[in-house]
Amino acid sequence: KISIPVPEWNRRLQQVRVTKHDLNQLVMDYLVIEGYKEAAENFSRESGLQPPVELNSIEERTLIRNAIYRGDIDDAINRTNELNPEVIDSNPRLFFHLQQQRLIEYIRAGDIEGAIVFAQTNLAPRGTENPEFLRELERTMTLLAFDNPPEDIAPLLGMGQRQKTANELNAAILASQNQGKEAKLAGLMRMLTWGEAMLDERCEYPHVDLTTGLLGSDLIKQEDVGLDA
Amino acid sequence: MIVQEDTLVMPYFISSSTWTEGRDSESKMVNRHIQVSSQVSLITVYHDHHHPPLSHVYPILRTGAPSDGQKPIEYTIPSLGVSDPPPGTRRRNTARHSDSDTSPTPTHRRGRSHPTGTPPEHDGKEFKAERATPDPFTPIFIPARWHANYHSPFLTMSSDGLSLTYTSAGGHGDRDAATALASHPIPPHVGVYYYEVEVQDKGLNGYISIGLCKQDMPLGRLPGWEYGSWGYHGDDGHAFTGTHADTDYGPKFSTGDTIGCGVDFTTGAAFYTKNGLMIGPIFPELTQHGPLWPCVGLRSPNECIKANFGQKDFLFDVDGYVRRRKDTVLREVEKWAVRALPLSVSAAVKLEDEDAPGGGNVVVRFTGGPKAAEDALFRRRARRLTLGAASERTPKKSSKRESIASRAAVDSSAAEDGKKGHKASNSVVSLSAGAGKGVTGVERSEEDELRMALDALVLDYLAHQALVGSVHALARESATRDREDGVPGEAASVIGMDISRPASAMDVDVPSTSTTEAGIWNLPMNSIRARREITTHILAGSIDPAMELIALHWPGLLRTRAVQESAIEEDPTDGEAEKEVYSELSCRLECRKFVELVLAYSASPLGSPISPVSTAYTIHAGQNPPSSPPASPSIPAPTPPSQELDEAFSFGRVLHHRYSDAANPEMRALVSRTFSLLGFARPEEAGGDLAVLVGPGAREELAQWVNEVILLGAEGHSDRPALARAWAQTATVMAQLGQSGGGKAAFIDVREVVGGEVVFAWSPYAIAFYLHNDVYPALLSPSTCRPTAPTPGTDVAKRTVRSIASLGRLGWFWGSLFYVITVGYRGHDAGDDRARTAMGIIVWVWGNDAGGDREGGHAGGDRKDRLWGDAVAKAVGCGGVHTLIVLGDHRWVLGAREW
Repeated sequence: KISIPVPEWNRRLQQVRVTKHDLNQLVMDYLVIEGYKEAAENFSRESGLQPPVELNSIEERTLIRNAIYRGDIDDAINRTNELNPEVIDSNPRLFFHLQQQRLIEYIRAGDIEGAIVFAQTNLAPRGTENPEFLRELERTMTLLAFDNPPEDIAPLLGMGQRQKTANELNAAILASQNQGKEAKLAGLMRMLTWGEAMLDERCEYPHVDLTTGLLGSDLIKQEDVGLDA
Repeated sequence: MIVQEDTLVMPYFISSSTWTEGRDSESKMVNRHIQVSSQVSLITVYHDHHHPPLSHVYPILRTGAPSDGQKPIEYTIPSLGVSDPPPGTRRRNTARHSDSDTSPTPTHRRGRSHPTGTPPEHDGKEFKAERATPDPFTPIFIPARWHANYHSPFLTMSSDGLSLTYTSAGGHGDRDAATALASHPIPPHVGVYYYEVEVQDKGLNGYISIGLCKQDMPLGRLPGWEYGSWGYHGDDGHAFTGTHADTDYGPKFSTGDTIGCGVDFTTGAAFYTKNGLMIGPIFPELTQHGPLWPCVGLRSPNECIKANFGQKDFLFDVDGYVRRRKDTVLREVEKWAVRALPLSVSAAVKLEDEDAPGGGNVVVRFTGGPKAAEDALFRRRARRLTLGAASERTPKKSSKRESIASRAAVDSSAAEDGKKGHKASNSVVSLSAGAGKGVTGVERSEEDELRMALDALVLDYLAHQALVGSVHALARESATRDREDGVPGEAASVIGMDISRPASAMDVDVPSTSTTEAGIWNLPMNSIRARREITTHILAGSIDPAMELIALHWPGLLRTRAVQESAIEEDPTDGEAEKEVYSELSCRLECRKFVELVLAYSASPLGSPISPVSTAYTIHAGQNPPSSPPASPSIPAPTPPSQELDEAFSFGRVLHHRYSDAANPEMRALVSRTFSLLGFARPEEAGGDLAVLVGPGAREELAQWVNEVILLGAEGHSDRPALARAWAQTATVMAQLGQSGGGKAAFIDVREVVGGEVVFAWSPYAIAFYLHNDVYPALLSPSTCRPTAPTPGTDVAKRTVRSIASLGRLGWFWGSLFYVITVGYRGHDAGDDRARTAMGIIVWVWGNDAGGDREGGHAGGDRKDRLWGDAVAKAVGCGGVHTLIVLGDHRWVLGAREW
């Protein structure tokens, strides 16, 4: 295994030229994809960088996402269809997951009867189309059998499941708008961790610790500086 | 002997690929650099045309930029050939065969295969050196031909170094074996390497083995027979792995067949093709064996092969293969779950002081993922980002500090739980109250954890850049993101903060609208705001308010009180001996102020007539400073004709007085350079260093610099935002990964994934390189030196595209559009024939050696074009450039469409 000393590594890091413009674009892309409309507006104004899309389209995505967070799947579907009916129509997996989320919301609300009716009319036919869907459906229906669902299916009832559904829908909408489905910044982080994991097998080298020197990361230090005074 | 120059434009750009050239020529080469811009150097290489130069220029080197961005690239192309150290020793070869009474004498065997006096250690050392400390600008060579010396004496090599014929009588069984190695080993950075061998004559028996070997391959053995060699044999179609263990691998091959051999560094295995069709992977874990050399072994009389190391099209669609590999790798990265992000917020959201009526503190703790938790170094540095600080606790700051410290201890002990660190923090999470049936706390999806970490990264960047409005907006939006339709609901309560209730903020003077956000994200808003204002002032050219702000917030940055040494000697107790020393920050700001004054004057109607007077002043300023400059009446004070000038002069005196004896020579130089501006009637037209001072980018550059100085000096933060460090780390890791044999890294380009600005003038993927006549025979007819434009759709045009595309086997610029610019031979008359090839993406531009014409003829006034024009002009100016090929991506193409 090769070992790369810290000074050598730092020298190489310094050689990498990262321009402000690059970072600005990275940040703008992130703000837009993540739906931070206000931040994107401010950032556009302050950095002079034009947003790649109409910022109002961000807002619509935010509303849709929030609808799912709220558990109002109908609202999310309606809004999405208003935006572009193709998004859901052309994506059976997404549609299934939205319906599944709807079923989950029935169960969360304690409407067992409604859940069963909904599953029979809307989900079961889908399930037969695809074995994977069927398995998912079975898992979801298991929720009905327990007051305290076992660990493996309990997460279905959680906020995490809503977020997952929301993210999937968000990605689909982004794709329909010809935008990347994930922020480039996330891609960068993925590359970073992937690369470090691959390189760990071959070299010893300093890993990056991004929290060091993060602005606002250190309350104590900031108090010491005493800017407030 | 015709000496001709090739020009290689070496672009380098952030982090990703740098291109180098491998060539194999026995001639002497001289190279010289011409710096074109900060990003591009033209490297002119003279070489002897007699020997076949490497017909392809391969982009191989993937490393960082040179250390100093402003310096031309130091790039040397060493002379190769006779002096080329051959690979290792081959003593085993003769030892093995010494039992044969009919074999040629060992000395004969060794005769040509062991170049006299070449110490094998030298070669070995080079390898080690290259592998241990890869120098970014050491050219890396690829196999280009059979090695001039390193082949068995039984083999006769053609003059181009590609064909080998078995010329021994044979008849000795295994001992007849004769192997040749390629000129260079395969660099692992390439990702996928491929070469083809055409069997031109199977000779007596067709005992032909095509494969790979390590450096110490005995030349009297066939590839595959020896440990450290791998071969596919034509007579039986078996694949040998060096232990006589053979696999029934593929079909036999014979006269007329073309066998391809590839090494896929992403899988670590090799593959073969026959007549352009894939046979399949073989030799798993091949690439673990260090440098591999393409090799071929023949064993019976009249066998003859011809290798293609990329000089012409391959039968096999290796480009397609590479594309598929690249897709696979990209998909692998796409699926990579970012678990061990060195900044993952492990959802440690915790209500602090729930009993406190003023509102809760929300602490989001940054910890490493499980992997990072193992890293002791990381644990030590575990930091936290405090999202809240909502409740007022100024009176008991110290106690708060204690509580943070103690909590930090708890946290770190949680992380000490070792590999369960991740889990441990999750358990903290579940302490938070969930809402609704079955909702399990604030359990977050992985995406959400990543998102929160990224939010923090972006916030850090925005704060770093002092973009106040963006910081506020993002802080608020991020904190309220999970709330439903803006109404604090389940998700918001999960996070546990109520932002509708403005917390009493730490800084009272902040406008109330921002108080909320500033309170939620405990970012140093005062600092950010102040830096923002300073930046704005500098950009507007008003230096005084900027300096006042700095003096207000960071007084220590402008001047420090230093004790004068001489004064100490005289009277150590004298308090007056302390003298204020002005910092570089102060110096640069005040010099800027002077520049602004001068510019303001020159913009005024009285601007020009002052030039003689100011020259006098300049001379004065350039002299060794008198001890009391302002008072020195060495020249009669000019009567300033305007108030602006008067102000400039008087401030200039102050400046002069203040910095003339500065310890830092750069500061002194800056001051005198600034003064010399007065020598120009129109300072904005000054050239050279002065142009930088008055140029439009100067304010911006200064503002950025001041921002960094404040961050670094006063705030103790890194001068690079974490985002930039993440980027740099990624690029560096990828470069190192490529060099360490992580073949997959060859297909990852940080820029490609992240995107970003075109760093140098025309394209991040632009490269100009030289194509030799061999590759391009129809283009340049040697007899007339007159180029012939390819007819669209012809084989030549297609082949050129293919040739270029084969460079892309490294996967860096697929999908890019190609522009090919060809500049005429030396002495060739001016012509501007342009033709588009069948592909419609290649443009030929013929020209002469009058560089000015090139610029005038094509530059559309656009800066990019001018830069390119300059590059071409300089290339042509040094004579004899005849082919430049530029591959550009769409951005460049857009910019150059009118060209």
